[in-house]
Amino acid sequence: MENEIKRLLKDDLLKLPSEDFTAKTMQKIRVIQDSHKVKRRISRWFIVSPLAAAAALALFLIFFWPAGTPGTVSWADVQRQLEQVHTMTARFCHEFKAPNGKWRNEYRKIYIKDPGLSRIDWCDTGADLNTLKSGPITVLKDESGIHERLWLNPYSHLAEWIIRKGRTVDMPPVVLLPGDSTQMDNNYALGLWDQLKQITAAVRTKRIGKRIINGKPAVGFGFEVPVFQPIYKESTCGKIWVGRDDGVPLLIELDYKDYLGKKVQRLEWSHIQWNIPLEEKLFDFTVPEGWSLKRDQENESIEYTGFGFKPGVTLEIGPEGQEPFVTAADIAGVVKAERTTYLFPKDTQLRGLITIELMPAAANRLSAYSAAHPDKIIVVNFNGQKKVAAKLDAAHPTQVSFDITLIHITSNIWHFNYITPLTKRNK
Amino acid sequence: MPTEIDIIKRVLHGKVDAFRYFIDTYKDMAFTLAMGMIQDESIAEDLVQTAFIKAFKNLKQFKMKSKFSTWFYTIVVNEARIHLRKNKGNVQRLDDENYHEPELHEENPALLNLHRSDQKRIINNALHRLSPRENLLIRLYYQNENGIEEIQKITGFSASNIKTGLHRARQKFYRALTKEYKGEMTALSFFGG
Repeated sequence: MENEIKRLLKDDLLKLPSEDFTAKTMQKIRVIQDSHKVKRRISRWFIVSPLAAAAALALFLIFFWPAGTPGTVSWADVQRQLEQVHTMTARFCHEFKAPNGKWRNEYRKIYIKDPGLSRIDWCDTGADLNTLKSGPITVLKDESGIHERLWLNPYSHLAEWIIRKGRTVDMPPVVLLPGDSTQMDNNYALGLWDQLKQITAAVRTKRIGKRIINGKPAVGFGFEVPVFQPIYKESTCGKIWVGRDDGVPLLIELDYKDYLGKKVQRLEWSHIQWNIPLEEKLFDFTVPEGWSLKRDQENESIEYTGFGFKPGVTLEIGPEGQEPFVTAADIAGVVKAERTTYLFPKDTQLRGLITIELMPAAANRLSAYSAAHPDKIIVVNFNGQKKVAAKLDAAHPTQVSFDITLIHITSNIWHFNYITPLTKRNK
Repeated sequence: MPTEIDIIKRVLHGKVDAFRYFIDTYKDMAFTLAMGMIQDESIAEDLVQTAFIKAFKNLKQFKMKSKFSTWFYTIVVNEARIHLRKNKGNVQRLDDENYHEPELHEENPALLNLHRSDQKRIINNALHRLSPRENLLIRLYYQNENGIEEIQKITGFSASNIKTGLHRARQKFYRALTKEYKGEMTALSFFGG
């Protein structure tokens, strides 16, 4: 039976493909063979005649390269271009997730002028690229390690002037618009600029293709820059598209992801113009007339125990134009020194207040006169420098404060020039 | 009469039409092998065509130490395997694990007395009951009369695996044959045959 089955299998159970199987297969094989022939011919041609091959290649590039002949721009060329940039303007787009979970684009116009001048025109929230209507403006200046930032809000006519030690990119965030919950750091634009200029030729880059940007043939490079945000991935991949012929950057794209690889935000610089003249008035720090100005202030307060005025310091308290009720001998000690200045620089004293403790008898004399003559101003003549009003403290009847705002001295100078421990003084 | 080696040399020298010889000679068996494993005519045909194209493209790599058929069937079997792997979830009865043995065990010599066309149908149906691997072994061994060594080259299985596989495949084939035959007889009597 096995032999019979073998015979059956062999003779009758052979499966047959379609009738035109051989023809169809041969046709495909011929196509393959023809394409091989062309390839072989081209490779032979290139070997035999390099000149002809070069000519063919040139023709191919002219006709098939989307933007004409390819540039030979390298990353080092791009780097050189970046090093030669003195002014720049660009549109900056920030794509981020709003608190409602929807992706949103915000646009800004950026102006940068070396050394250290920059300006950001904040466009209306939700504005599209074609109707960039400027909102608030931030003007920034970095000079000699001092950073100045003037924020001008045309809606509230409020100007905010901040001066700090350090660089622009180290600055903390500011609120974009009143009522807008988005805490946007306007340093993004400049920080990235700073970062971009720091990308050296040694950074690993790869060519990512070519395209036309604003009618100009461009080639793209992919690169990586470090990110120092806690929830972000430690580096972000960027793309820089540069002019094919001159290596001048035309478009920069940066995509930020979190540690899970999920998109967090996207930054894009477009419409970039390099080394065009930028007027100084773009970076003017003058606050428009009629606007209110807010500056960062700092309060300092020193409380003293067992301190008094140094010998020789004169202090007299009494009604204006009359003999003083209180002299230095009536002062039991210095209680407190308070001072308000701008955060930086601190040389402008906005408010200074000294509180002293009087001997009980002197305090009584002063209180009695004040109660009897409420219309009279009691003045303090401090060390012959200024006469200022005395402020009697109801809660502490033996204490008197006086304003030294107009005496331009720092708290250190105040302390070293006028204050001394009572024990030392009494020796 | 040119040998296969002569024909291969002609193909390698650019005489593409000479390759037709291999297609004409091996297409049926290749298709049969592919059908045994895939059981879908159009897919099997595509696979065999792909195998021929691959054979043509890689003809330079054929060392001529084995028969062309052995080398070529290896390509066919590999193509079928690739297809089976890709479509594992969609094709039924692909491997031995999914195969359920027929319950009937008696051999039926009466099969040989049937009409040739009935025999063919019954054997065909029985072959369909085998797993792709068993089908391949049966066809290579009985239908194509390949020896163990050649089957080894084509399938990549070890000799002992082939022997065991063939033994099991043969048994299953007979059982399937008996079941098919009995079913055929029942159907014939039902219709008054």
